[in-house]
Amino acid sequence: MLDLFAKLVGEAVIRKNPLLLKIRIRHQKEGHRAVLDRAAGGKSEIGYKRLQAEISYKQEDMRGMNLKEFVEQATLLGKQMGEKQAEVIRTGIDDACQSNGKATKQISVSTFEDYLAVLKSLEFSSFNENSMPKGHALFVAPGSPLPGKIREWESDPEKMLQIKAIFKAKHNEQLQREANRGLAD
Amino acid sequence: MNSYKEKLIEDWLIKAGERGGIDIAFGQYLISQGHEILWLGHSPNEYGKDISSIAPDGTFHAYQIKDEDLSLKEFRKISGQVNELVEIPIRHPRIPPGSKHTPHLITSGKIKDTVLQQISALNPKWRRQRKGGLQIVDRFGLIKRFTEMSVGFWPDRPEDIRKLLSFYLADGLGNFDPKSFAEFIDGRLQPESRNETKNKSLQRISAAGIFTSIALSSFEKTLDHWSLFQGWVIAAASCMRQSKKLKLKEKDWHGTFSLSLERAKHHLIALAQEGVDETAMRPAGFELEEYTGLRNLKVCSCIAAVSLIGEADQIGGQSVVDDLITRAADNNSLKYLCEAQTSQIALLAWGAKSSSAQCASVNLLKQVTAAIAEHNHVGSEMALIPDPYISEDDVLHKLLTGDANTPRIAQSSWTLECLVLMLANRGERDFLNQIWSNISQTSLSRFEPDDHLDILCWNCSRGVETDERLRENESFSGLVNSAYSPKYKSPECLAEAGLTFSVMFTLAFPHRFNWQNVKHIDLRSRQN
Repeated sequence: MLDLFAKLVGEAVIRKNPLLLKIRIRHQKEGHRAVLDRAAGGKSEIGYKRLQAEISYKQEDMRGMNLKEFVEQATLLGKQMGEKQAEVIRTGIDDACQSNGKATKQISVSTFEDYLAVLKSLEFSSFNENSMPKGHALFVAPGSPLPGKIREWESDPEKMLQIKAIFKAKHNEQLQREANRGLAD
Repeated sequence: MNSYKEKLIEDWLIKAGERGGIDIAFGQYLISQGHEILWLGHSPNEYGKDISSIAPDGTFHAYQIKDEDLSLKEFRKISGQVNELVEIPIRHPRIPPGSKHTPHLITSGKIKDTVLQQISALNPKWRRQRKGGLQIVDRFGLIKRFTEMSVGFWPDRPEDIRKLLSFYLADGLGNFDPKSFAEFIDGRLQPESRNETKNKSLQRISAAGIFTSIALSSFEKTLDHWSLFQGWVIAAASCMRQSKKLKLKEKDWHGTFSLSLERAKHHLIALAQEGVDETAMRPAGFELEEYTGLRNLKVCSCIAAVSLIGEADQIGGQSVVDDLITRAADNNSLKYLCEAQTSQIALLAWGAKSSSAQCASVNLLKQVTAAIAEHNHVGSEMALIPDPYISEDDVLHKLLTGDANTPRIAQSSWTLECLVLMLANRGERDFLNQIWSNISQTSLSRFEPDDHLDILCWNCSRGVETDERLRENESFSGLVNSAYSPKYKSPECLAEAGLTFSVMFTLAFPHRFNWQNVKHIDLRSRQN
């Protein structure tokens, strides 16, 4: 029963988690290594890391439980496991993103200027017709006050103009780059 | 007779036909005994000889293969063939005219005593005429030979036994699993130890041919030519890979390889012959439009492949091939769903000879190139065109039973680079320039095994997958020049194996379609 439960939790995390479903997965088809030859030059080996989340529970502690208590206990275990896995996944994604321009190492974002600096340092790959990034999400540590601050800054029209100016510049850079794509001779 | 091996061989002999079953297996048996096969096939010009061979002692042998019980009545019916088998010398450039040969009558059925007596009575007459006396092998003789030949090579692990039986007992209706089959055949070819003798290795390779015949017999029964074609190409590729890894002399393993290749060719031509029929492109009863389109593309690519390997006459000549490619492309009767079909599209371009067919096939190349670049470039929000490791049948099945929650796969293409180089070599600069934005934003995936011979196996565990992109401002002339630069070095095994094997390999192993593996086919087709 516990095995089945663990399997279902695993399935749910992988197949139903909206966060994971948004992340594109690269499957290794053959061989034992993978190399990314970057457009900007330089090759880097893709490191496959096994991420593991563990919780422990003694089976004997379940002795004497009635069905309701067992389901409640299983639900609690599921919650703990889910939180643990979310933490492992968040850390794993953060580590993987450090080298590709999709994450920032700026640890402290306490002022609006810090936030603008973070936005300037990040890469955005797609924009909507108003030059705002499409489908982006900000991942922060649990309990961080940053989401609240961002909402506050974005509701200030003047600050929003500055944010939009950064995105507009990035979009223009991208359009320029795209316009230049073509065969050279 | 009590082991499952003998029972299975007996059951197979009862079901197998003389053509494509027993004849091939018996050919493998002869090879394992050191014979050199001069001819294996069925033709009225061979005068009762389905197989001709030279034995290790230099003597000549001819075999008539039957798949029926022989009573006196049946024997009298085939007496014309038997007389030709015994009395007419083998005609082959390697055999001096009029040379004496030993004739053999082989049947997977039983032979009645009355027939044995008849043959005993005829043999002195033939010997007086300085002909070889007729030798006979019946079902029990075949069971003994095949069992002895394969002893020690039978699957003994439960999963391998299950694999063999699952192929043997399949309904043979398009449910052939090439990956599983390749694993099974590769498993049969693995030496027991590093010190295995050369003779044992060669015996093992011949025995793998018998296992291939047994495993594919269900598909033989239903005439599932595509599965049979793919199965025999896998067998040929495995044979070549293992023989070269073991550094066996080519003359020792080439017979087994050739037999497998000939069977693959036979089924390729049979499929193409079905395809040139006027009604072949229409739905066979009620079927999905997508399914008809997928099937049409596969059949057209087989027809093009037959032309490429120089067998166009078997399907009515090159004009039939060109006409079919032109019509199929113009009528929108082909459906492209996934990268496993890119090699089929390329084959149309290689097999087309007339200007209209070439024009139509290059248009198809362009459409597929544009579609892959549009759907699979990084940042595209369109549905990904699935990679060549997923068959078109599986893709169609998934489309019909789609699971909305399947994880999103990173965008890349395994076949775009090859298409770009094919088009560049055809001078399609303007077209490529139009879609260069998408092309240059597409990750080009490629697999290179650590050992080049492993390109011949279906799924290789040692090697590197590389993802790279073409430059934003690539030079067109640089692109053309790079196609034949050391960057794209062909694996020696493919270059040495010849055009026929390369073409069939490209069709049967769609995930091996990359420029390294096919550039010699492209060059050859453009030179002709």
